[in-house]
Amino acid sequence: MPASLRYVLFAVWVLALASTPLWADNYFVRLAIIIAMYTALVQSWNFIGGFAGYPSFATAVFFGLGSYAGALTQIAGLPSILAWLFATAFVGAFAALFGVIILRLRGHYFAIASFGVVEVVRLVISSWGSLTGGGDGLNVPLVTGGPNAVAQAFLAVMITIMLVAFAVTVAVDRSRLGFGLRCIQQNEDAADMVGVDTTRYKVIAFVLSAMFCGTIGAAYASWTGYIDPSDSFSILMTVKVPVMCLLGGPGTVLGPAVGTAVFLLLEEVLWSNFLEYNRAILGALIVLIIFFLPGGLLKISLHKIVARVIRRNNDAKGAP
Amino acid sequence: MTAFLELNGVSKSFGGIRALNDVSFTLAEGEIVGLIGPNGAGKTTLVNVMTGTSHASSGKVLFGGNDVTNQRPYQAARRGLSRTFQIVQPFPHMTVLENVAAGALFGDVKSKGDVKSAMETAREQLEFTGLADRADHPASNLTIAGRKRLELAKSLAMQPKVLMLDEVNAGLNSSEIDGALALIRRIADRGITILLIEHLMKVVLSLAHRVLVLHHGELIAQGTATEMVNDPRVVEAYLGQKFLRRAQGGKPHG
Repeated sequence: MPASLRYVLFAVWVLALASTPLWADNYFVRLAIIIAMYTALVQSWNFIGGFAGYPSFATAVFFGLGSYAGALTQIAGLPSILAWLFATAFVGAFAALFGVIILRLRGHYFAIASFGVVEVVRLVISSWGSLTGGGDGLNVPLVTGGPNAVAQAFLAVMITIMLVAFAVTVAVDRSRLGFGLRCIQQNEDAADMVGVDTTRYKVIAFVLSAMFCGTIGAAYASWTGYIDPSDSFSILMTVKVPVMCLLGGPGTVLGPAVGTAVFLLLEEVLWSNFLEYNRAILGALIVLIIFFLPGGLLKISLHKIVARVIRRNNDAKGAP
Repeated sequence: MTAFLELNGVSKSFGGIRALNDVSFTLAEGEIVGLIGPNGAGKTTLVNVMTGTSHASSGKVLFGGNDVTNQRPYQAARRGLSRTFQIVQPFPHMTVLENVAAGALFGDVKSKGDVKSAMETAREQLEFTGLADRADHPASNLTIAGRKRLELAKSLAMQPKVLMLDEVNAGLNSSEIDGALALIRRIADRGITILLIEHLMKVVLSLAHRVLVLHHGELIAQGTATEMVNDPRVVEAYLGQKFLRRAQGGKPHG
């Protein structure tokens, strides 16, 4: 599929999500919000996990810290949009600090360390009752308006974040930064040797992977009106996000959108049709897809399949 | 000729093993210097120490008057200290062109810094090294000779001042070696200082202005190629008596 057609399809998809309030009921509007939100989370993960090839499980810590930073500043009286921007900057700074430390680790070690950060921060948040309300959670000032108006407002917010994350992805993909991250992903030592300042590049990718999660966490807190540690620092989220990216195509511009859409729609279909076995079926599907499509759905190329068939034929002819 | 790159009493230990012991030498601008020695003599370690891959345990590495002993590899690359690897290190999922462009984009500090101009520079280097027709192939599809040339093109795209060639000719057949010899000569004509690590004496003898001999981590001799070939210590440590007889025109034994 030519790249331009892919972008057109993506634009159609975004319009479909954005227009749900016009043609569908609240169930679909809510689904569209969730899809936009996860797409932005997966696009974020793509910077560190896809471009740089560092298997991060830190999504939930960025999301959770963002939701607490947003909630606390709103309770302190900051208007919601400023609170979201504060959460973005706060989470970005947190990622820079932690990135410098844990990005010294590679592969599995980095994955485990990033996972550990989620647990540590979750425990700190739930123990620090005087600030965070501990296990009781926090009530976030609600956005005023009827349920429909609120849903439409948050749909607009999540789609905006998703589009900003998308624009940054496109910019990174075409830039020197994206090139350097791909070098790191393929052979970090060789990248160092050709002059890529690997530490700096990895930290930048890690911060990019964090910032939007912070914004989304804060916006999510405002949307639901209530946050608690186990919901904000969800292990399930931290695992789902990389899976969605791998499903779509890590390190590609449109892979996150494709993977998220396919995953969430599958999840919805399975929920409604197989209430008891939906998780098991979803799990089996994920294993199958990742096993047979290691490069993600976007890497299926008709061109390559045809080329492979031709090569096989030639091999068969060439064999003695 | 001024000293351009200077090693001053460099030693490197790994645990109890002394891989390099008090090595001192200088490279002058534009020189081709051969570095020979038996396997395990410390040749690759020496290059690692000069390019920041590992750091000297004691002693100093000076480049253009600056102390670069503790530089990181990317800093070495940007300073113009470039190397090829004995075991090639391509970016496997990139095309040949992109591999070379990476060198131009990150290693060449004078480049414009955008991907497009890096691709153009890369194409020139591919022409120069004779890989132009392979530009859009995946790097992992190249033959060994092709990969060695890719390493060379990548290093050249970094606009190096000093190029360390770690056995770029190993595994090549004799016609490929003649091609490689011509290529190295043309690189030297650009004014790039070359340190040639090589087992093939034919290559060393026909290219190097000067030869350094490393044995058990120590620099046991240095001088012109002819001097080295006739130096009894070098013959004893590396070349062997057979080589000497053959070089002197005598009949090879056995």
